[in-house]
Amino acid sequence: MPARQTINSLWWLIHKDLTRELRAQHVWPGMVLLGLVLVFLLATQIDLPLDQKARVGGGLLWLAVFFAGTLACDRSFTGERDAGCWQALTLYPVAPSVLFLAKMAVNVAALVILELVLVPAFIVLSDVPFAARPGPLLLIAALGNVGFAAVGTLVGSLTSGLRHRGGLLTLLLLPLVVPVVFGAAETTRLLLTGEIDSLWWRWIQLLAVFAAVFTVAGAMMFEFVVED
Amino acid sequence: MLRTIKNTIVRSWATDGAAKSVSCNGSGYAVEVAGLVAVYGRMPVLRDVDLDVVEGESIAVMGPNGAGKSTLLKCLVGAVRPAAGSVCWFGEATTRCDHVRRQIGYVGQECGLYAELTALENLLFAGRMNGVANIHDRAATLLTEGGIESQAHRPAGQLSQGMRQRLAIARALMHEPRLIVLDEPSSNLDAAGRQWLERLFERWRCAGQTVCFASHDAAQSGSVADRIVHLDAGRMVAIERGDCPLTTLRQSA
Amino acid sequence: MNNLSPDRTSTGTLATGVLITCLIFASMWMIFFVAPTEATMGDVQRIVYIHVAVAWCGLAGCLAMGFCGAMFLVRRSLEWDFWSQAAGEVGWLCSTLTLITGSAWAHEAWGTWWTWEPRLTSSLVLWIIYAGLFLVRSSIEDPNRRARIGGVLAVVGMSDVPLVLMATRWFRGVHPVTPEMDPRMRLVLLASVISFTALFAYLAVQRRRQLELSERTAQLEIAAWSASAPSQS
Repeated sequence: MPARQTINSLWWLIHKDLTRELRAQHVWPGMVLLGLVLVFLLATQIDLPLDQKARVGGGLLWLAVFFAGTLACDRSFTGERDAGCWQALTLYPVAPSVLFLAKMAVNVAALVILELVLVPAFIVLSDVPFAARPGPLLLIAALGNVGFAAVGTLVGSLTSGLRHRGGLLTLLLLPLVVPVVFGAAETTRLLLTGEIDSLWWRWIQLLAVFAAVFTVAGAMMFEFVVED
Repeated sequence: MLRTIKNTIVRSWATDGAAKSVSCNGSGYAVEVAGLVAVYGRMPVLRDVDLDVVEGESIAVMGPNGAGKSTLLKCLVGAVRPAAGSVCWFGEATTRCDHVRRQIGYVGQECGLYAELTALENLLFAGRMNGVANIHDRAATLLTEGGIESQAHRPAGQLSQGMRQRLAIARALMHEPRLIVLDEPSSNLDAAGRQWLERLFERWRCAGQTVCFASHDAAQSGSVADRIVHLDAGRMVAIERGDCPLTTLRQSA
Repeated sequence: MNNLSPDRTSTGTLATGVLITCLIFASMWMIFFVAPTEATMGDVQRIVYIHVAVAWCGLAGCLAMGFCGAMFLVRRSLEWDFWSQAAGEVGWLCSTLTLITGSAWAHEAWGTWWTWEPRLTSSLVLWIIYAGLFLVRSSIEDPNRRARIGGVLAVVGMSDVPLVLMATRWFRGVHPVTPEMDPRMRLVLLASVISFTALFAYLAVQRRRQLELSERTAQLEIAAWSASAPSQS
């Protein structure tokens, strides 16, 4: 298949999912609301002096983001499976890896939306100055999103076909993305305490390797997922 | 030589499956199914099904509920992985290659349309996925032929069952497939819709289009199919010419 | 009924079992009577001989599960899935024992049952991944589907193994890596690792056989059922 056709398919697959979400709002409002509830609850629990808050704030923020993000990874498949659309999709002359990358891109978009709401909300509710150094924070968010969305898309597609799947995705996904959660939390903590040193870069490397490995692994293994 | 004999045998309708030893060499066959076994869980759904679909013919699959009709059709489009046996499409043993997939159009029991996208957008999306050129013209033609051009800009979720079925069929035709597979295409259609479907079948017959469909309606199958395959409990129990008397059909069904 | 005899526990299986039991007892004897008492920690240090052995078996089990899962995806033979599940279950058992023995050791060495140290954390995560994977597997009825989904997850779950192995090096952990050892200690550790590996390999083989037999039983039941069911026509 020529590269042009692949890129075309990729774009229209993403376009299709975004259009559907913008028109019907199946997933994102619920996801953002869950994130806000989590941020609110977590922020009330860290009523501490500012320097201590800065030490735990990063971890809590990312926990809220990724926990709410599992909802996006879960729902992004269930909606499509219901009406037989997923089967139709697998019968098109489109490589499974393209289907994977498209879904992953949509899930990254969902996480970006989530972060655009949750980070300001967390800052307002807890006074932790996340936005003091936006550049490094953006880097953390970008790598974290890709890593999380890669695993989330792969595992979400596996569990979305199961009948008794209540909470199963969260249970599977969170342990698998522990490196992302820890990496994002640690880097943010170091960022807030002003220690961007070799350890910070070590964690960033871990996040980057994780994102790269699972994007490739997911694209390669998606072939085994699309069978049902 | 061998191929000629095989064609003769298969075209005589009577002894289908006799020339199974010939390898998948394409040419003349849309689909060659040999010794197909499909399993759902541990339950065998299809057992040892042999079927050659000659290009240009129309095949109806009949049988009671749970006989394996849908599964057979899904195997014919490559949506179900056989537990044993082989399926070849146009001489290729896999639908993994894109040029084979582009030859197949499938309408399942679920319509597979995006409820949030409009009828037109659903068609355009299918066209884009199949890499069709001139998708706008093609979509407009199909909407007109399907009698749903007035609904083009309504979301598919708001269409009636019959409209959705017409749209689903139109979507499967977007890329002008050489093989069309329909799973109970008339199930959601009203009287007008059934007439429309019959005209469609008639046109396909004249154009030499390869069609496989599942049906409960013996009269419909008899009038539009070249051959009727009867399934029972996953086995192929009979193959008949389409224009044989209906009484024979009832006896064997 | 009479062709089940080849599957009955054979003399060879029994003999291997007895041999491995002897091995385990021998290594236990070595741990308590051959290995010298460690200077600072005393007898508690003897936990390490078991801890290292089961930890190695846990990681090996995880890798074996992932490898066999991948082989299933390629070959599509349930045989590989039986191996995958057997290795995974035994690996999970070892993983549990690793956490328990490690925790007991830490209580004496570090004065705490648990600490958030990179290797400890990643080992606990491995245990949770195993647990989630078996939960998913148990919720799927269709053996081929279970094998396929379990296979993908097993391959993904393997990603935690390098973290367990490298965590102490990458992130300044306090978990001992390769301490200086008395040659006798080294010998006892080696004996312990070998005998425990043999034990868990034996268990995995037995479990695989059990899984295969139960699958065959299920298929025979279905075959008998569909043969006796009246034709619908």
